[in-house]
Amino acid sequence: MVGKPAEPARSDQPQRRGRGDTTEQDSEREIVGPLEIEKLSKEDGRALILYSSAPPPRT
Amino acid sequence: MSELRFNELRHEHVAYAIHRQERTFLPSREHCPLCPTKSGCPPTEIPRETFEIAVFDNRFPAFEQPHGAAEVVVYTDAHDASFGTLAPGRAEALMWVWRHRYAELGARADVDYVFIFENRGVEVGVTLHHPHGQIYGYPFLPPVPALELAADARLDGCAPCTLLARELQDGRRVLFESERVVAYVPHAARWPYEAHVVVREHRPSLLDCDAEDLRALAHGLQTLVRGYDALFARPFPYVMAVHQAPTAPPVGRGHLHVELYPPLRTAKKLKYPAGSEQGAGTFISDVLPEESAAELREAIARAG
Repeated sequence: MVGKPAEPARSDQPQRRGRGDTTEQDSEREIVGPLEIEKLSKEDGRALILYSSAPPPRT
Repeated sequence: MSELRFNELRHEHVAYAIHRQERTFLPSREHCPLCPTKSGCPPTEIPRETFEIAVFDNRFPAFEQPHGAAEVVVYTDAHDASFGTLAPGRAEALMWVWRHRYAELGARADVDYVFIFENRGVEVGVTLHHPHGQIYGYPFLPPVPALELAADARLDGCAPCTLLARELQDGRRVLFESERVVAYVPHAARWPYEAHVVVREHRPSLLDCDAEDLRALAHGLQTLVRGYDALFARPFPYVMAVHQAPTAPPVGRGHLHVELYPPLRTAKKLKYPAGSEQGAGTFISDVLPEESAAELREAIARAG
């Protein structure tokens, strides 16, 4: 994003963070849609994300 | 580290990623870096014995933080599968993965455009056979999506919406349609068997899609790719390009659609972008879109 006027943020659009920030941690789990997400860091620092079928919600 | 230069004559960026010369090139299946890690063996890129879908930072990135991103999306742990042969649930899950990556990469200040794509087949430069796609986070708006956004002004509204309406009204190039998606060979296709899969409602990006849209998109893409494979009874090479809204201004502009560019013009002959295509920017095609659409409809029916 260079030299362009910012548009009003929409709630359904990606929320931009500062340049260089990351959300990854060594291991972090979250649910997105039907998927369980596991975030890992490789030994060389690269991110690895594993997506698996999420367990059905408890009733 | 890549270097970005600007070609003033063509008004376009060129990325120099010289480290990519060393990237893994068509390894044997025993040395596939995208397969799961076998017990007692050195780890591959995915240090698990099984997995469903995996995404990781490309070891040989064309773009990297803080000047963009390059990720690899591995569709399955099955080396011999393909996008078309994934179980429907897995293909649908892949749409959710794309959506998640669009949201996360698009949130970064150094990513202005999230481009999801798949290169299939050595004919389009694949270096790993294991079924996978890629995602580039460009630190600028690339020329092709910029051209599409410029078409909005010429067509006085959303260009993909207008073109979809025209294709539906004409009908000759429509391959199939459902309540949510339409697939067609475009009126002015560049490639002999080029096809677009367009979300019927105006959805700027994957984030604007609900679960039914994503399911329909996955089904539509698999239907098309299976038809491609049936056309010449061989794995059909293609470039699959997901076009959607930029994640920097003009945020929210665009219309989610997927364009497929297969290089084959017959079962054994390739269409090469040559003198006219590269030197003058004008594609010369040997096949009329109406004829290739008819062939593809038959192939899709054969594929079931």
